[in-house]
Amino acid sequence: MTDNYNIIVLIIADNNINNIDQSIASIQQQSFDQKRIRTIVIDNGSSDGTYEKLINYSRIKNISVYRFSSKRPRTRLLYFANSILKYFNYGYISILQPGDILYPDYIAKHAALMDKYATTGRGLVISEADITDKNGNRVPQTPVFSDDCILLKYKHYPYILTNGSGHYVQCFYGKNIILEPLSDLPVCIDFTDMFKIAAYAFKTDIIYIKEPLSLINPVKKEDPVYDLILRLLLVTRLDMVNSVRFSEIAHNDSDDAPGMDEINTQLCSLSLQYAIDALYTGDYSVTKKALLFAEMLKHDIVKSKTYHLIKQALISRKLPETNTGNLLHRKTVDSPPGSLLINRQLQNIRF
Amino acid sequence: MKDKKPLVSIMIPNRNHSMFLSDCIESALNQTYDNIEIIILDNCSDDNSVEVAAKYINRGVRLCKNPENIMNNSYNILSLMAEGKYITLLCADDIIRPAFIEKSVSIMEKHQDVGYVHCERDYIDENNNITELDPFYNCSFIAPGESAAPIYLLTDVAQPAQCLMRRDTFLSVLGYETEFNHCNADRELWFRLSLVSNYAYLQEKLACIRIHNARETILAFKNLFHTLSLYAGIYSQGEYSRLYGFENVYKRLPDAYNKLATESLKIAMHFVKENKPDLAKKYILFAEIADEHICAHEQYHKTANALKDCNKNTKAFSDNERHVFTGHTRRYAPPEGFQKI
Repeated sequence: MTDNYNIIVLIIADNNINNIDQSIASIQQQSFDQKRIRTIVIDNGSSDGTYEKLINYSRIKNISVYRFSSKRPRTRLLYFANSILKYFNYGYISILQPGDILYPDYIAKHAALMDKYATTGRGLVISEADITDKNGNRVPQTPVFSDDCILLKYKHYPYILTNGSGHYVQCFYGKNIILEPLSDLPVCIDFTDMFKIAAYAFKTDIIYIKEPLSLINPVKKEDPVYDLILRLLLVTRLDMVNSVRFSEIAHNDSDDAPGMDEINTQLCSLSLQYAIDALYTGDYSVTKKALLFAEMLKHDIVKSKTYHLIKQALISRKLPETNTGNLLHRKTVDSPPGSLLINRQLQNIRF
Repeated sequence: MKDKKPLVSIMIPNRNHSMFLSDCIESALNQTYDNIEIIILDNCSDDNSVEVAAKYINRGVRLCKNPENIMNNSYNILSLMAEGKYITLLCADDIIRPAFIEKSVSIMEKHQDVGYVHCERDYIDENNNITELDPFYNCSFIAPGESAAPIYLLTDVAQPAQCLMRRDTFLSVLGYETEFNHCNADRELWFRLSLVSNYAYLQEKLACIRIHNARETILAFKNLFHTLSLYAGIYSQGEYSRLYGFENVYKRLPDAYNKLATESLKIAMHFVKENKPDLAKKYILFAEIADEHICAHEQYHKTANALKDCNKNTKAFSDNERHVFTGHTRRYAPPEGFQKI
């Protein structure tokens, strides 16, 4: 294993006085050689004392603190972060949202995988993550795939886009991958982090590990309708890119890519899940829109039992008696055809 | 001694438009303004575009070639190669009138706070037949960017060939969006320019925009991409305006979603007429997602009923009825706080 590079953990803080400590602490508790970890925190014009707190952290070696001269729009934060990152020498980088926590082996395991499997066309590791629910409990997520595997660029990405929860912290990037396209995704607001990943996915294979290596603390209520629309937008775009690409190279690669039918089925289930979630929070407008979205993707979904139950609940404003959660429970799928299985236990890799 | 006029860069991205390219380059060379550089960036054309463009090299035109087709990103690359104080993006199938640069530069030089100027245009078809269009606004004016911004939630107002921008302003808003937003990249760019600079509008027809076979446009609607992308664009513009406190922008968001819903219904109606009920249904459902109040509108019922009848009713629609994408009334009043010029 090479040890002549550093690893950057980038945090962009914006009024995070209450949850920045736990994130920084989780970096300090990494099992990986601390001397090689550089924490870079950029404050985006916080007014709640976050910046003053960060200044105290900057006394610790390996933590650098910066502040933008004026508040930057969320969609452009990474672009501006680049203007700072370019002065650092590093091999890999990970982006941590304030409040999210790295498990102790996060860097060690990601870096080991990258060292072993990264090539010029492959510089992104995606790991699973646990999520904290509103009561503060740690909720494990269903992994997307049943095995660790290497997903090929273009064709395997719809699986992640339709199933994955995809936060920044789940991604660990090679330097060459992250630099150029950071500014590429304007329509994405930062909570839809997974879509930023899509930009990289067009350019790199993905090393997938099913082990959760971080804990996500969602700080803000997301707009489920926007989430669904963006997912569909991105898979449609990918489908368009693929159809041109596959026709140009006259290759049977496309056989392994999921078709739009399969993608629509997956997104349809996700819509129903969001519809139910919104029922529980009493956000009936979202329930209604999520149902419409499901129907838009698959017209015959209206005949299904789950759809019927949700619709009834929406009309009566009462939660369904049947446990709809079980009807919808997402299953882990086998790694997709054409992907390369990683035939080893992670712990066998020396780091 | 009189100062030299500022340099203007005319940037021409091209892919497979060799049949229009000469007209386009000639229109750039025929400007009455005399301090101009012309840069052509070819996006891996399969036709003889490069040969056509190469003929102009000895007339000072710079020709560059991309190794792959990078679509909107070519605008950004062009802006980095350009050296002018002002830039204009001229699509290889469009044409500018001889006075375009001179008149636009004159406004920009007089008004240093104006970041971009739009002029008017006509449509031109493959055989160079011109269709005259109503101007968008009812007079020429300068307006605060902030009050011009909300318009772009609803419509794009102008195409790139109708616009002259300060290169600095273009770079300061980070240029064109690239990967996921190419459908409404223009209006998105005008929107961001408006957030940082003022806007000028010249009610003179100084550009011709080439309209290709309308069927191509319809094809683009088959997979919802265009409409989804508009939704995402409006959402992100809403986020921007909240962050910067542009109340006049985000209070127009409901209008923007309503307009998107209305357009979806129009597309739905088109597909009903084309006897494609599945697609029509998708657009009706999307209309309701974009604006839940659309169900109360007459147009919603009309479209929904037409869809119901779709399978039974094979009545032929007249050409007039088929034209669902035209028929706008324009000549709007300028944005608030405008000054006539």
